[in-house]
Amino acid sequence: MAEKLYDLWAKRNPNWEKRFEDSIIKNFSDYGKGVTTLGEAKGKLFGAGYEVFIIAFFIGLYYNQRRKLIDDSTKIKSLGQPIQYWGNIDSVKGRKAYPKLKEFIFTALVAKTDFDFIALDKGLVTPRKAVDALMQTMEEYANWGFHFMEDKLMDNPNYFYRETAFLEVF
Amino acid sequence: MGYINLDYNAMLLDDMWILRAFPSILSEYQKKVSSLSREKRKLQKAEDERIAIEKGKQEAIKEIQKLANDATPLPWNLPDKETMQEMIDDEICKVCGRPAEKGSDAYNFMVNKLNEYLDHIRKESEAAQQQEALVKPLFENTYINELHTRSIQLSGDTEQELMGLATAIADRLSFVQSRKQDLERVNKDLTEAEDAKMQLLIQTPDLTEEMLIKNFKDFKGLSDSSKRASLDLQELNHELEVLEAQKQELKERQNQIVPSNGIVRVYQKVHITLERIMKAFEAAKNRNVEEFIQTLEEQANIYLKKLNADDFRGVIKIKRTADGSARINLYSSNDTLIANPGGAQKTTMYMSVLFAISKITTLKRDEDYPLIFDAPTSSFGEFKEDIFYNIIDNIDKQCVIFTKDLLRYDRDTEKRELDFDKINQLSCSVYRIQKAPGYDEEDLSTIRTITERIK
Repeated sequence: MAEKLYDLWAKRNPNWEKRFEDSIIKNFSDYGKGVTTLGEAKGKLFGAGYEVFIIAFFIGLYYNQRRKLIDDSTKIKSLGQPIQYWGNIDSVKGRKAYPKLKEFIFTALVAKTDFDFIALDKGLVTPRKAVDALMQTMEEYANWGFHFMEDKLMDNPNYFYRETAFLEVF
Repeated sequence: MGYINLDYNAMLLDDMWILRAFPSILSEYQKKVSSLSREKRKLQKAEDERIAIEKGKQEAIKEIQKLANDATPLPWNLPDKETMQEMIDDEICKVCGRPAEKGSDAYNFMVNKLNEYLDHIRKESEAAQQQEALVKPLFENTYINELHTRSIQLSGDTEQELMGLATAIADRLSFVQSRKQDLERVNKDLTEAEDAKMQLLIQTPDLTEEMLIKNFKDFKGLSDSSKRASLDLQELNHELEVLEAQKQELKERQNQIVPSNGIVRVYQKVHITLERIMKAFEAAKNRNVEEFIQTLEEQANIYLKKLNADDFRGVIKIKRTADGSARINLYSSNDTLIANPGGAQKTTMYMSVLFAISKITTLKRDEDYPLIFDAPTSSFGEFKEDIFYNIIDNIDKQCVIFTKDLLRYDRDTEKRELDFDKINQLSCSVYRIQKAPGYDEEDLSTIRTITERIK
């Protein structure tokens, strides 16, 4: 039995532009601190770095806006954890696990990616190509989301430090 | 985490609030996957049909290969391709030996037979390919099926849950909002209470908050002990009653004993008599005190009325306390204590009691003694001062009063002079007591007092 498309996708680790590392990802999360100290730093709105990525992705998705990542591969970085581990950690600082969310992200990617799935089933293209296409969609939505957040922060550095800030974005 | 958890950022993920706008995307996915699945099935069906047609075609070819007189033809490979080509080139059938000129039926038959041979070879290789195609399926992967299964899994309950998110979020937000309003209200009440407290503290500058809190706690503690004490008192009184009854009973039984001896009978009578006398004394003493206090109270109130003519005065009450002494207090007519009377009221209250004592003594013992007042009017206004002196004047009693009331400050000489306007109104004797001039300001022994009769 061949591996499922979802599992192939979940093994991947999305890329993002390095320029957001300090301004957004580290600003809002404990990215780069390791699992043991996860969520310990004060004043962070989110725990792991991928949480900010998820938020950025949904911003792009709901605004239905994509943005290609920069071509220069030295300015690209990936997250610490592959998708399959996202949201699995329970009981961190009173947080709940949300393993289901990944499945919804996957469906969104399938819905939004222009890819010939018929050709995939015919064996004319490899599953790897399909997952590449899905990842590209994901990264482009998130990239737009990061730019959106960056713009908001430029207008007002404290824009997201309000109770309902992210909630309102959605 | 309670329902009023305010970590909306975590809830975006943990409670998947982030999926609030997701239903449209989910339905986009479902539509896409179901159309892919339909397309795949359509292609598979077309493929199945094609294979079926291909099979049918092979059957048809076999039909065509029959001869005109229904005789079974030679196998397609007999004669072989090279032999056929040779016979066509030589225009003769080398099987039957008859010539077959170009354009004749026999010639055409041979050409057809060669074409059939070539055709067969070609078809053979095609068929081999086709055979391969029949074995290899159109779709080797099942990814679309996977996507379709996921789509089915996500419909129904999950879909409904997503649709419900909007309501859940709105409910939660409005719940939190109303709790916040509650909080605001409580905070406002708190601020108002703080303001009221501040105002109270400002109005009574000599009371600090700590003192008030301490007093309040003391009061609470004392009123608790008072409650407990009054319960104890009730119990003890009850106990006393029971004991008294027992005592009474024993006494009666004792009295009923008829002594046999004459001298004992005499003692018994003496005992009973003395006991009755003692009881009478006890009762009389009590009654005397009660009467005295009542008289004192009445007399004191008469003086109080005089001293405070045309002014608020209250009522003097003298109450016996548990330790046998008495306490003097001013009461309002509705029997509430005036806890903090003014200076003049306090002074006149005590004075009234003094006058009353003096009067009662005079009445009872026919003895009199002088009353000495030291600056009695210091807390009085000028109006009350006059009234005071007039009352003193009318009291049939010797009074000695020390006062500065009869002195007046003269701005021109910067000295205190006697106020003869006031002195002349008085019918009593007036003396002036003052320090003789020429004393050392720091040596007490140089002070001499001069007493000089004014009138």
